[in-house]
Amino acid sequence: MEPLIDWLRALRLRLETLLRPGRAWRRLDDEVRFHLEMEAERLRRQGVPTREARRQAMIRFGGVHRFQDRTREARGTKLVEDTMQDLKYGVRMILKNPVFSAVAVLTLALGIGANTAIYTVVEAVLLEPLPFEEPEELTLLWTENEELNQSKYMVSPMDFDDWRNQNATFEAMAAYWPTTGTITEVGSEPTRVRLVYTTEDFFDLLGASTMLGRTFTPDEGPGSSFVAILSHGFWQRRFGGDPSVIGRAVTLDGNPVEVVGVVRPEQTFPADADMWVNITWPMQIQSRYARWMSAIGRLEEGIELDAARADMVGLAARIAAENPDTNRGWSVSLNRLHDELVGDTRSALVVLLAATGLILLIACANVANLLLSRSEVRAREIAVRVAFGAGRARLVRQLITESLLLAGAGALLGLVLAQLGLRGLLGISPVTLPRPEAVALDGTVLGVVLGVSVLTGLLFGLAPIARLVRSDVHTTIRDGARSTGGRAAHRLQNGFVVAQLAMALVLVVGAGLLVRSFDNLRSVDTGFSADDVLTAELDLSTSVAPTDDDVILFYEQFRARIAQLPGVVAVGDASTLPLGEALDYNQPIQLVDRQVPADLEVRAYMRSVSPGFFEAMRTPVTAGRGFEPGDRREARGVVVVNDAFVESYYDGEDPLDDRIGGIGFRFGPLGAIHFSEGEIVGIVSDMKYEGLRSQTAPAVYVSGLQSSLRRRTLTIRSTGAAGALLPAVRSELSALNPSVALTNVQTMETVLAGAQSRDRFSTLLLTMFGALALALASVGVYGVLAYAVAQRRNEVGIRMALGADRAVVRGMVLGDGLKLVGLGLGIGLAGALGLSSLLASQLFGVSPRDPTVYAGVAVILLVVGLLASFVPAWRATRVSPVIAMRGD
Amino acid sequence: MVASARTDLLQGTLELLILKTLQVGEPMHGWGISVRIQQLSEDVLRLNQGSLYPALHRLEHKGWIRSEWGTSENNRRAKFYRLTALGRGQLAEEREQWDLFAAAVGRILAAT
Repeated sequence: MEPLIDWLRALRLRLETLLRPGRAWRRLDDEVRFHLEMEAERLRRQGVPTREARRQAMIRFGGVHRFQDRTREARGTKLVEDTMQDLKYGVRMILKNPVFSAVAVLTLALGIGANTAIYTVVEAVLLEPLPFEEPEELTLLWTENEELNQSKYMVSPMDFDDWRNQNATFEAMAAYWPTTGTITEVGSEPTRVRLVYTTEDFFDLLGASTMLGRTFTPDEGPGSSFVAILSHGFWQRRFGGDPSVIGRAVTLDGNPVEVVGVVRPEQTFPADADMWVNITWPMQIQSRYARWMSAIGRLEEGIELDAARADMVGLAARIAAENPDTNRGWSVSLNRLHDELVGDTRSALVVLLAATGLILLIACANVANLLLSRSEVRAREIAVRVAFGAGRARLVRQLITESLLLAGAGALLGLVLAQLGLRGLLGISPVTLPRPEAVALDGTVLGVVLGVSVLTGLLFGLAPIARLVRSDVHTTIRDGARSTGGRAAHRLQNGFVVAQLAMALVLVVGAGLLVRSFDNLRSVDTGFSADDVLTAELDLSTSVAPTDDDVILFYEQFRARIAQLPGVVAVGDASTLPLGEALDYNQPIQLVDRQVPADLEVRAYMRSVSPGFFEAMRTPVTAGRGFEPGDRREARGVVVVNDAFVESYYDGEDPLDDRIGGIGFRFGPLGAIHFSEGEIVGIVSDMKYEGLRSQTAPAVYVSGLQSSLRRRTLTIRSTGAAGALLPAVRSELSALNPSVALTNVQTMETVLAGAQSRDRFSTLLLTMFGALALALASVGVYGVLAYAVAQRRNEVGIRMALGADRAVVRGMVLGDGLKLVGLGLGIGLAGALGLSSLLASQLFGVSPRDPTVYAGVAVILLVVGLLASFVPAWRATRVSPVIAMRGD
Repeated sequence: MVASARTDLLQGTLELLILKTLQVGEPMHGWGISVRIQQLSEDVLRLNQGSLYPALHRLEHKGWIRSEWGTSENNRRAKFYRLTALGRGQLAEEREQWDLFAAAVGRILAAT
């Protein structure tokens, strides 16, 4: 019992020492003072004079500093106490040099912040597995036809059925069809929904589960009745997250459908789906020619993608051999779901990640340089402390503590910046990032940034320490702050600056290339004028318009109503909006009146547009005429072709009045073109559909009055702000038919901006990074030169006292600066030439080695370098010779 | 300073001596301990006083001795140390160790 109490008492003592170190020290002082007095008293009694007695007592006691250290060591709390002391000292040093500290912390924060933000996005988009079971087994399948130059095309239900039943490498395969539908309920606005019809095993295949209700059951296949599963987002939006929606019937395109489940939010596939409905029709319908479904498969365990590819290609070849009429040349392509979702974002993200990595390196070099400069200045302080008995190991620890403090502050601020930056990043990239909802700063990222910051702290903490260890106390104290022992250090600093400049140049070159590329992209002729055009999508279900004629009539009436609204200049509709997302149909056609080489497959995009569409888009009709109200079903078929068509199939000759055959086509449940041969009545300028970078392909436009496509996008040109028309358009629609909904309402300018968004995103970010790098590098140049000038104050003072010209002195410093800039420029240019090919896939109309960009960037860097050198140079000549030569 | 020059005590030895000095029972202050060790060793061992206090603190933090403030023989405030139960056990143990050690060294020296 008693030993335990002794032990507890000792523990309390240790705690008290830690918590109230002042008190412990005061007590120790009292104890020592008492000891010294007793010792002196004893000596006095032996006849030593009072003063001498006191002195001898002190000597016999030994050095007080060492004594304190040893006491601390003895207490077993030395480590903690030392660390506390180091921290206190570090904070004091940081506060004592606010400018230095602010620059260092800010530099690091920018580097760390940019890295964390970008890394977060990269991790969420590229590295994180999809939230499905064994996501690496999930594979998307398409058809492709090399002869017809078709890739990633849809699959027909019959082909899909054969794939599903005859493959040897897939555990399961499901078909789905993303389309739209309209939900109507008494007492509320009709809602357009993004609807996905799926085979009943779709969710089981994904390994997705519901948060409410159930997924489809195996018997909800062909012959059963429709049931609906809602996405989490749609459930929240439309039903306010009401759980009682399960079991309720909603009216979808006029038919009652029971809601049976709500899917987990992260398991939404396709990502924009509002609702899934089971496919209740058999696959053996229509022809193999009707390719309109999408397919997803789950590989058998352990099967490689290549093996599955070989299996499927062989299968497709068999089907093609058995059905040459419909399947000749048609094969299969597949790709992992993850790769497909990430898509070409990968290259952009990798470039940005590399860019931020460079930023962090530049930032570290900057801070290292700052610390290095300061360690020179502090060399004497440190040497004095060594002379007074401070252990080197202890000093090293203190410097590291200081570095880590700076790094920690930088990391903290950087994290704040990252959070802000991430919000901004997601804000400016609505289209680019495939899974924005998955992007949030999380523990992993936090770990990474902490690792980076600690590493940074040690990295730049090491440089001054290396300098300290080599230094010789005696010389350092004698030479003071002017110590030239830093020649190696100076070389190191110069090296850092050159590296910074080189890296900054690489970044700025990248930014310059992207800016030029973006400029090119913006000046691409789209073939239409985007300003003042409002667009909105409609889809007519069979309950609204039972027959093809009803569809045509509905759109005609709707257009007529809108044309009367005040401010409307022109109104039209189109099956596919330029730069939009709707499916575009590319199909073979025949030229009735013209011979083309036998090996030339005549194909064109078939697009239905109504009278008024070209006017609303201001697309010039360059020959003949556009569509007119008389081009109806009962009249002869007419078509309008684009310039690319004339170029490809008529060698630029006049195609007017020639006929085109093979047009009549029914697009599954989507609608039909109602004539098979049409006369070319006009030519329009090329319009961009597939993105701004694409080459315009031959296109044949048919009249919206001669085709009955149910899903169309309305385009309305007005004199005022495009968006202001929307309420009037809505009320006209509900007057015409209250059960039809408008979706995808956006101005044409928004559509255009969407097409530029990925490029804008990369360009904006890389430009920001370039500017940041330039700023950091110029701080580096300035810092090193300013420091060098301070070091050479004596020399400069002597020169000026001897009558040296100010201009000469100035030139000397500027020359030093330019040497660094020139070296950085050379290395950077070489590096940029080597690295810029990484950007090649993102550039449009500009070579990765575009000489004007390189020359321009070189000039910019030269100017920035000169400016950064000028201030120290100017300062050098302001030195008063007297003060300079007196030294410090 | 004649004899003390070569008596840089091993750390463990100093602790042993302190514990032994305090075994007598009455509380002693630091200076008293140093004087007592010097006397008992007949002036052979003169403590480096700078290392006495660290040793005292070390022992106190281990719980082998405890301290309290009191008044010295010349009416000054001083810190008095006394042995704890834990320390008593430790002393026995260290003493045994020391005997073993001393005997071993003695045997080696005798052998030559």
